[in-house]
Amino acid sequence: MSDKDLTQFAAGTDLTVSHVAGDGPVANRLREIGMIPGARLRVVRQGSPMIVQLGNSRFCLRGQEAALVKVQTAESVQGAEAKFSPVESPGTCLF
Amino acid sequence: MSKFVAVVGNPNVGKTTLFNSLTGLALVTANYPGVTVERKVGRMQLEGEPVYLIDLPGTYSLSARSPDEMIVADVLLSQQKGEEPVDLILAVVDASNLERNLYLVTQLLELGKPLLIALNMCDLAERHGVAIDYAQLEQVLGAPVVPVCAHKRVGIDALRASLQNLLQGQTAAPKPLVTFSEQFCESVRDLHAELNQKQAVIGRRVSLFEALRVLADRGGYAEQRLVDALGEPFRDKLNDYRLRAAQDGAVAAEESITRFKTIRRILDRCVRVSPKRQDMFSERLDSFLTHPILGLVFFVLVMSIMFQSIYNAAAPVVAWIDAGLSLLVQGIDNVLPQGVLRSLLVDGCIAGVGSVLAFLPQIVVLTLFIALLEDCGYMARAAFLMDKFLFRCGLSGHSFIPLLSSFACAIPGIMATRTISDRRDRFVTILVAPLISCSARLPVYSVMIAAFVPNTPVLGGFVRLQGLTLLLMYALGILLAAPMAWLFKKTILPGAPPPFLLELPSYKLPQMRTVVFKVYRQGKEFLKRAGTLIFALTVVTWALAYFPPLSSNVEAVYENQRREIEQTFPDGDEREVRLAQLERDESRARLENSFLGRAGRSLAFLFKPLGWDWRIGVATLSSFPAREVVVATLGIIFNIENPEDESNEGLVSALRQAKRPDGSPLFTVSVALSLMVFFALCCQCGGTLIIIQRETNSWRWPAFTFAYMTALAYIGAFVVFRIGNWFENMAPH
Repeated sequence: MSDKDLTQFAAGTDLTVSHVAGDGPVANRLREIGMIPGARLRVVRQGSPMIVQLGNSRFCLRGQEAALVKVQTAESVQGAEAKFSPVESPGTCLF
Repeated sequence: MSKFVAVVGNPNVGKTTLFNSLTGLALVTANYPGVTVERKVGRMQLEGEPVYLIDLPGTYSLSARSPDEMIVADVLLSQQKGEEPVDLILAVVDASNLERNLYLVTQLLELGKPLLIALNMCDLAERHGVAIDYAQLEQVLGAPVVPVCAHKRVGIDALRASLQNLLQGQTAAPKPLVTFSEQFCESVRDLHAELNQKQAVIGRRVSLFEALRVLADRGGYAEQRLVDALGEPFRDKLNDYRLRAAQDGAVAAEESITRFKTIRRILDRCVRVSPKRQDMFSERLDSFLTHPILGLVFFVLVMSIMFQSIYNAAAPVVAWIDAGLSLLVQGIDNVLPQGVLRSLLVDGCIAGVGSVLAFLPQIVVLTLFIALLEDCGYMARAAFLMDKFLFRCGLSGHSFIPLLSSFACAIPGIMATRTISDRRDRFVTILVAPLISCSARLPVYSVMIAAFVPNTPVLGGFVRLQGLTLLLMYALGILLAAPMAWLFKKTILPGAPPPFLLELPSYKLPQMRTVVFKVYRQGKEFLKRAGTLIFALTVVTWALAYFPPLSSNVEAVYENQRREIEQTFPDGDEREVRLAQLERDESRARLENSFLGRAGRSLAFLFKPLGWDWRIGVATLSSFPAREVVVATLGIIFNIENPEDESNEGLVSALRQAKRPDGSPLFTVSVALSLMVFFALCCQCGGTLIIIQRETNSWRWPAFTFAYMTALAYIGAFVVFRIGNWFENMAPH
C-alpha cells in the first residue's frame, strides 16, 4: 500500500507515521523530534503551515516539510507497533 | 578551583527559568570569540565555592545545523574557544515530553562527562496523566534525576544539593545506553581512526562522538568543518563510510530510529501513561488563536494594544522624569553663573541625555510586552500566523522572532537570527531587521507626534490619532521590510523558501521572574548606552553648537541694542518682550556662527527637498552614530535658541514655535512626517552596523545595509514631504 503524506489528511485525523522520506537536514530534524515509524500524530490544523500534535507537543511545519512525513490512518495500521516493538536489540555499544 | 556546568535542553523546557532560579541576577553575557553566539554565564555559590553555569541555546539534538547548535556541541565537547572545559552537564528535561527530550539525553550520555538531569514540569506531566518512576528512571539512565518545577521554584534546593554532590565527589561519567548495529559501529570507528591519522592536518584530536556527527549529519556543520580542513574530495570518502554504515547510506535515519527504540524501552520501564485527553486548554485556545481569520484579528488587536500602551501607559512616568529634570535645571541655574559650564550642564548634558532618558519608560513597556508574549507561549503562534506572509517574501516564520525583537533593538534581533539554519535566509533577515522600528526611534516619533499630531479620537474613540500615527510609523518598517526581503531573496541572495519547523509550546502563565529579568537587562542596556555613547555624542554636539563664540564686534552690537532698549523702555512688558526677542536673535546668531551651524548651512541644499532647514539637517547628521541622539541635538539646538525651557515639554513647545527666516512655522505636519519617515527607514546606528559585520564576517554587508537604507530613507522622506505639502496647500488652515 502506497503511503500518503501529512498534507493529505483533514484536521482532526489521527495518523501513524510509516517513515520520513529523505536524508536531508529537514528529514533528520523531523525524525529527531520523534517522527519515527509507529509514532502517533494528529492533524490539528491543515494548510501551509500546518499544525500537528506529536505526543504532548505541537509543531507547525510547511507543506513542503509535511510532504516528507509518510503516514497511514491510525486504524489501518494495527500492526505498526509490532514493527517498532521495544525488544532488546542485538546491537553493539559504540562508545 | 571554580567549576563549570553546562545547562542544556530542548527549546521550551523552562531552561531559562531554571537557570535564573539557580543563579539569580548574577548574569554575565558576552560573545564567543569569532562567532557572535551569546555566551550567558551565571554564577552560583555552593558551600562558598563559586560555580559557573553556562546557559546554552535550546536544541533538540547535538547534530548541528545552525551556528547556535554548533556552539552547544563544541562547548559540551570542550573544544569551544573561549570556554572552560565543562565539569558537569545539567540537562533540563520536560517531563511531559519525555520521549522527545530523552533523545538529546541519550546523546549527552555519550560525551563522557558527568550528567545531572533536572526533570522539569513534573506537575504538568502529572496533569497529562504521565506517572514517572523517578528512582527507576535514575537507575536506567545511570545519572541522577531530580524532579523540579522551575516556575514554582519547587525542587531547586534538591537540585543544588545534587549539583554540589556531583561537583565535589569524583563522579564517573554515566554509561552510554544506545547500541547500534555492528556495521554502523565499525564504520564510525574506522572513520574515527582515519581522522586521527590526519590529526596534524585537522589541527586537533577528533572525538568518537564527533566522528559519529560527521558521519550522520550530511551537510551539517561538523562535516563542513572537516571538509574545510581536508578538502572537497573528503566528502566522497564520507559517503563511502555512510554506505558502509547503513542501508542506502541513511545514517541519520538509522541513528534516530535506533535511539528512539532504546528510549521506548526506557519509557516502558519507568513511565505509566493513563489515557487522558491532553492539554485541552492549549488546544482550545489554539483553535481560536491560530485560526486563519480570528487568529489574525486577535494578533492585530494585541499589536494595537501594545503600541497604544507604549504611548499612553508610559506618559505619566515620562512626565515625572521631565519634572525632575526641570527641578535639576532650576537648581543649577541658582548655583552657577551664566557661562560655558552652565551651558554645558544645562544645554548639553541635561537637555541631551535627559531627553533620551525620558524614553526609558516606553522602552520598558515595549520590552515588557515582548517578554510577556514570549513567556506565555503566544509568540510561536504569532510566528505561525506570520509564516504565510513571510513565505511570500521568501522567508519563514523563523524570521518572525528576530524581526519582532528588532522592535526593541536591532542588535538582539540580528543576534536572534542565529537560530535560522539557512545562510541566505539568515542574511536576508539581518539585512531587513534594521528597517523594523526599534525603541531608539521612539524618542523621535514621540516628540514629533506630541508636537504636531492632534490627539483626536478616531475609529469611534477606540484609538486616538497620536497612537494611530505611532502604529503607522511602526507599520512602515514592516511594510518596507517585506518587499525588500523579497527583492534581496530574488536578487543578491537567491534561493528556495527555507524549511519551517517550529514547536508551539503549551500556553502558560508568564513567569514574572523571567519577564522582569528580561526587561531589567534591556533597560540596563539602554541606560548604559545613554550614559556612555549618547552622553559622549551629546557633549560633542553641544561643543560644536556652542563654539566658536561670536566675534567681539558682533557681541558689541547686541550689547548696544540691549542698552538701547533698556534706555528707551524704562520698565514694563514692552521692555521684557523686546529683551527676550533680542536674546533669541543673539542665540540664533550664535548657533548659525557655530561649527555645527556652518556645516549645516553649507549642506542645506541636501535637506531642502525633504522640507527641512539646516537645523533639522544638522540634528539628523549628528544622529548617524546613534539615532536617539537626534532628540538631544534638537534639544540643544532649540534650547540654545530658547534658553528658558529645558524639559521635553519645553522641547515640544520650542519645536512648535520654531520659525523659518520668513516667519512661517518651521515644522508643518508634512515636515514632521518627513523627518519621522527618514528616521524610520535610515540605518542610523553604529552598533547595528558593527553587529552585522560580526555576524556576516564581512564589511560588505553593513556597507550595503547602510547604503540601501539611507537611499530608502531619503526617497521616503522626499515622497512623504511632497505629498503632505500638496495636501497642506490644498486645504490651508
